Amino acid sequence: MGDLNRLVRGGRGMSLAPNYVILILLLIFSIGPLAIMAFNSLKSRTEIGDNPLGLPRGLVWSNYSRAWDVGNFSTTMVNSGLLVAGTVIGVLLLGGMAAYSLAKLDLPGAGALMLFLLVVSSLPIHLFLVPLFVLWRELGLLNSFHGLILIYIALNAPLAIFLLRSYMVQLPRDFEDAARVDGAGEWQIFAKIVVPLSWPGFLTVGLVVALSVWNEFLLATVFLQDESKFTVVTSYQNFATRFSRDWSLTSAASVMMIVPIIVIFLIFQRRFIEGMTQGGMKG
Amino acid sequence: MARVIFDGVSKLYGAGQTPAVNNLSMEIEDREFLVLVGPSGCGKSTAMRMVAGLEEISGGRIIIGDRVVNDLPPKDRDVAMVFQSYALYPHMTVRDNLAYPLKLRKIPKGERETRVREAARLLDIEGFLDRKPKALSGGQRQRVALGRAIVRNADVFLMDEPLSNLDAKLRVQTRAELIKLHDRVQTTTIYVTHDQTEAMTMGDRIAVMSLGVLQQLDTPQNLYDHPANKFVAGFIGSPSMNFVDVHLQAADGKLFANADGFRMRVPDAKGRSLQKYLGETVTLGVRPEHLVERSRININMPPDATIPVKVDVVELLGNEIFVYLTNGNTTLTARMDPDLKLERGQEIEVAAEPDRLHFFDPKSEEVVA
Repeated sequence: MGDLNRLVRGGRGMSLAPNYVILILLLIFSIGPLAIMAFNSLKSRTEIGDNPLGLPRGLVWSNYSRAWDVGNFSTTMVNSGLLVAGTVIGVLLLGGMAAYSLAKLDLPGAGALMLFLLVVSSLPIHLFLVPLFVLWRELGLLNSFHGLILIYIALNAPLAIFLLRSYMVQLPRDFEDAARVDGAGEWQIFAKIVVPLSWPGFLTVGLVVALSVWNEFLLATVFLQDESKFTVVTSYQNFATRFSRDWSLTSAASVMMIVPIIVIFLIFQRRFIEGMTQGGMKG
Repeated sequence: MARVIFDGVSKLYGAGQTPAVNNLSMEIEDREFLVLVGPSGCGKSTAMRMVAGLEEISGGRIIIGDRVVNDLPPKDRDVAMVFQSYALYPHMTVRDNLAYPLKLRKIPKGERETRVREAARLLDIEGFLDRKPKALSGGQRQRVALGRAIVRNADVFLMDEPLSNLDAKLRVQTRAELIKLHDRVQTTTIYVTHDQTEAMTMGDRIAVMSLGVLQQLDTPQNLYDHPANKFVAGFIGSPSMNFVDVHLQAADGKLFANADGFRMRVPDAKGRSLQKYLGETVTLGVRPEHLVERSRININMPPDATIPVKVDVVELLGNEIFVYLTNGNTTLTARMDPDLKLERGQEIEVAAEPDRLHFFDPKSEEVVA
C-alpha cells in the first residue's frame, strides 16, 4: 500500500513538473530585483560600480545606520505611519458606512452613485492636482497631515466602497433581519453584525489602502513641503545630490522602507487572500 | 401574550403589480398556534414579515395586542422570530447569540444569565453554550434559533419554515417538540410552512393562502372535511384530491354525473344543492382515501353509484397501496388496503360515501355541494 502511495505521489510530482518550472521562473522575476536590492544595500559605494548585480564581497552594515540618519527615518517613519493610520481609519469608517448603506438600505439612486464613483475614481489625480493645491492653500490645509489624510481618504474611498459593498451584498439578509427583530437599530446592525461578518473585507481594504498610502509619492511631495513633515518616500530625495545618487544608501533605505510592509503582509497574508477571493460567510 | 389581527392588509411591491398579499383579514387568538400554509409565492412569508416589521404594509392595519403596529420598527413590536436559515450570528457563541436580544433590551447581566440558562435547559442545549454556531449540527442550530426567540418572552413568535433545513426524521421529531414547547410557553405563534403535513399536525387553526389571498381559515379537521374551494381541497391532503369534470343530467327523477367513460348517480344528499347546475359541468372532487373498492363498502350503495375502472399502476407502501385507476380519459388515485391484492389491468368498481364527495363550481372553484 505504501509503495502504491509513493508511486502515485511520484507520478503526480512528475506531472506537475512543468507547473513548477513556470512558478520558479516567476519567482525569479519577482524576487530577483528585491534580492539585488538587498545585496546592494550591503555593498560599499565603490563596489556597486564594479559589481552592481552580484553578491556583496564584504557586508557593510553601516549603510543601514547611515541611511537611517540621512533619510531622517526616525521622523519620516512616524510621519508615514500617521498618514497610514489616519487614512486607513477614515477610509474604513466612512467607506464601511457608505458600503453598508449602498448594499443594504435600498437607497434610491444607489446604482447611479456607484457609477459616479467608478467614473470619478478612474480619473488620474494629475488632472486636478493644481486646483486642489490652490484650494488647500486657501483652506490652510497645506503642510498638514490632516489635510493630506483628507485627500488620501477621498482617493481611496471609492475602491473601499466597491470592495466592501460587494462583500456586504453577499451577506444573507436574514442576519440583519434577525438583529432587527432582536431589537437592534441600524447602527448596531452595522457595528455588531455586518462589520464583524465582513471583517476579511475590511482587512483587505485596510491593507490595500495602507500600502498605497505608505508608497505614495506625488501628493506627499506636493502637499507636505516642510522637511519635518516628509514621509519615508519623499525622504528619498535626501539620497540624491545634484549630480549623483548614493546607491548603497538608497538600497539600504529601500530595504528599510519595505520591511514594515512585508511584516504586515506576512502576518495577515492568509486573511488577505481569503478577503480577496472569498465573498461571503456561511452561518 | 397577545392576539394578532390582520385588518385588510395588503402588500404591493410596485405600482401596477399583482399584490403579494391582497386584503388579508384574520384574527389570531391569544395563545393560538396558527399555521400559514400555501405554495411558494403565495404571500405567506410576506404576511409574517409584515407582522415582524421587516416589510412595510402597503394597505390595511396589523394589530398586536391593542396596538396598531404599522409604523412601529421591529424592535418595538415585541415579536420574536425564527428564520428558515436560523440566522445565528456566526461570530458569536451560542450563549452570546441567546443573550444578544436581551442585551439590546438593556436587561441586567444577572437576569440575562438566568434567562439564557433557562432557555438552554428547556431546549437541551446547555452543553454547547460556549460553542460557535458552525460547530453545531443542523438540529442543534435549530434549537439555538428557537432559544433566541424564547429568551425574549415576546408577545408573539413568528416561525418562517423553521424545519425545512432538517432531514426528514429530525423534522418529525422537532415537530413534536415544537408542539410540546408551545403547550408549555403558550405564546401566540404564527408558523409559516409550505408543507401541509406540518400544517395539519401543528396548527390549532390553519390559514391557507394562494396568490396573496386567504382561501380558508379553519381547524385542520374542518379544512380536510369541508374545503371551501378547489384550491384548498387540492392543497390539503396527500396524495391530493382527485378532480373530475362531470356533466350533470337528470333521469327518472335522479341526478347523474357523466364523465368520459362512466356515469355515476349523484347521492340525493348532494343532489338538492346541485339542481341549479343541471345540464352544466361541475368539478367532482374525491380524496384517494375515500375511494373504496366495491366489496369493502359498508353502506348500501346503489349499483349506479359506483364507477367501473381499470387498475393502471399499483404502488406498494407496506401498510397501504396507492392505486392509479383509469376509465376512458379519466384517471383517479385511490389509497387502499394492500390485502385487496390488486394487479395491473384488473377491472374493479369503486365508490365513495355520499358525504365524501365534493362538488365545485367550474368557474369560481368554490364548493357548491
